[in-house]
Amino acid sequence: METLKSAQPTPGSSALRLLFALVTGFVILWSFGVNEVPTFQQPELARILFWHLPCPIIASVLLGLGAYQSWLYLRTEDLRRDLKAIAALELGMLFSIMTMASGIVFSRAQWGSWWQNDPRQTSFLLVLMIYAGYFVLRGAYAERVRKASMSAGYALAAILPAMFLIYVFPRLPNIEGASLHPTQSIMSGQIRGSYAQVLTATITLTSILTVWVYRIRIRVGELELQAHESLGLETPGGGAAPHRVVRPVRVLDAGGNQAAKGSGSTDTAGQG
Amino acid sequence: MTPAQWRRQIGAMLRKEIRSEIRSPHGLLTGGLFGLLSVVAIMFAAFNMRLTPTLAAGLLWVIFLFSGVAAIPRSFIGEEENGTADLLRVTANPFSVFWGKSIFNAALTLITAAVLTGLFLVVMNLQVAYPGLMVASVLGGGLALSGAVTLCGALAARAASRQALAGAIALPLVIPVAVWGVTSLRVALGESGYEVGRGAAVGLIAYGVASNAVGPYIYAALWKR
Repeated sequence: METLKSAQPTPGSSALRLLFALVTGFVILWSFGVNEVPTFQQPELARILFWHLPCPIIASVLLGLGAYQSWLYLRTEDLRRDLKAIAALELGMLFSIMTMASGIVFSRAQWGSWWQNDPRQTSFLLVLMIYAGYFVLRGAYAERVRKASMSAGYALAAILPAMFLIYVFPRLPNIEGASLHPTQSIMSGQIRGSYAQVLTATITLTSILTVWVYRIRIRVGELELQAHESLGLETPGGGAAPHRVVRPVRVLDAGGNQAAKGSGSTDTAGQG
Repeated sequence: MTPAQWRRQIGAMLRKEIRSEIRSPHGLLTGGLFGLLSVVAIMFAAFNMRLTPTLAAGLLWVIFLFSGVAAIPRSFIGEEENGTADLLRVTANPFSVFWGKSIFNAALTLITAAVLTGLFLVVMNLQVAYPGLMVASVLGGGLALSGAVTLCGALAARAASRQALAGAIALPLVIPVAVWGVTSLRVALGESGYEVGRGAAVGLIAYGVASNAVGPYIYAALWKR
């Protein structure tokens, strides 16, 4: 119960949330105040950059964090490391989907079609497939430790191809020239003035939001783990009851009444 | 372990795989038939077309990927299905098990790839401009595919619907291999500069070495869980 009590919001945290909401509102208004970019087909849609660019940056950081926590899990066998890995990879997948969604809208607005077969778009779609593979593998195992171990192994195996797809592939000489997608806009200083300021603000805000949600996800996972370990309950996170748990269930007859004693008033789930 | 002990253990694992394959040639038949049918399907689809090197390289790599993904995971999945995996866990070293199976899978992939490449070149009437580059591309591709897909087979071996799962989780990991593979093959078939193709073949071999070097460590960390 102590753990559950500590999950209640404190006055300080409420004030911080209010401050965060106010700053976010201000940055959104500020982003609409910057000049449009006349070189864009739809100049006002250049502002999508402010919310598109933080997404792949955060998604790739979370992918690395997920792999690192998976490696720590394999070394320590501490299920809390697995929780941190799954929190990072779930959020990473969310940011990857947002990257794809905002990129597709941008593609339509700037290049005239929803999908351009652009190498950068395709490579990020593959990163999304890698994330999906992780969750498919995780879902295929029922037992918690095996689920955690196998998915940790996959997260580690996936980090090399994922980093190749994010950082190397779009910059290969024959790919970079063929892509419509800019790869050096930040590094070559093409984003300047108020665009650079708003972009810095959105990256900072999105990062804060990510850390916040990441911590909440870990907290939820810890509570699930606690419930699983102490009570042997099945949890929405996919945890099944440990082996050798005998759990009473009520058996009703055809009329909905409890079966008579002696004919088996209780049955057991799971084998001893 | 001494180098001689490593050789003995990996050799024993490799011999076991070869004997199992001779007794029941599941991997060779699955991969070979899958690849052969893909070639025949492409023959039907392109009966009046002359394929460009880029398109031919892309199609050939799609065949490699899918025949590899269909055949390679079998080496670990078969152990679980036959109930011999626990015996391996008790008696063998995980590194020897992984390398033994990965070497066997690389050989299987290379045999399948060599036959399918030859057949594809003949039926599609394609000329090879750089035979050495083509050999390097197929060799590197076989090595990279075997390392990555063997590991995915091991990860999926104890799950439900393991064969389909192994394929589904392996494909995203081997697409980068296909990127390099297509680049090197299309140069070998006469498109673009030789330097680009050589770089891609080196990338393939590097990926193969990396996946075969990292794979056993990941496998060793989870093979008894």
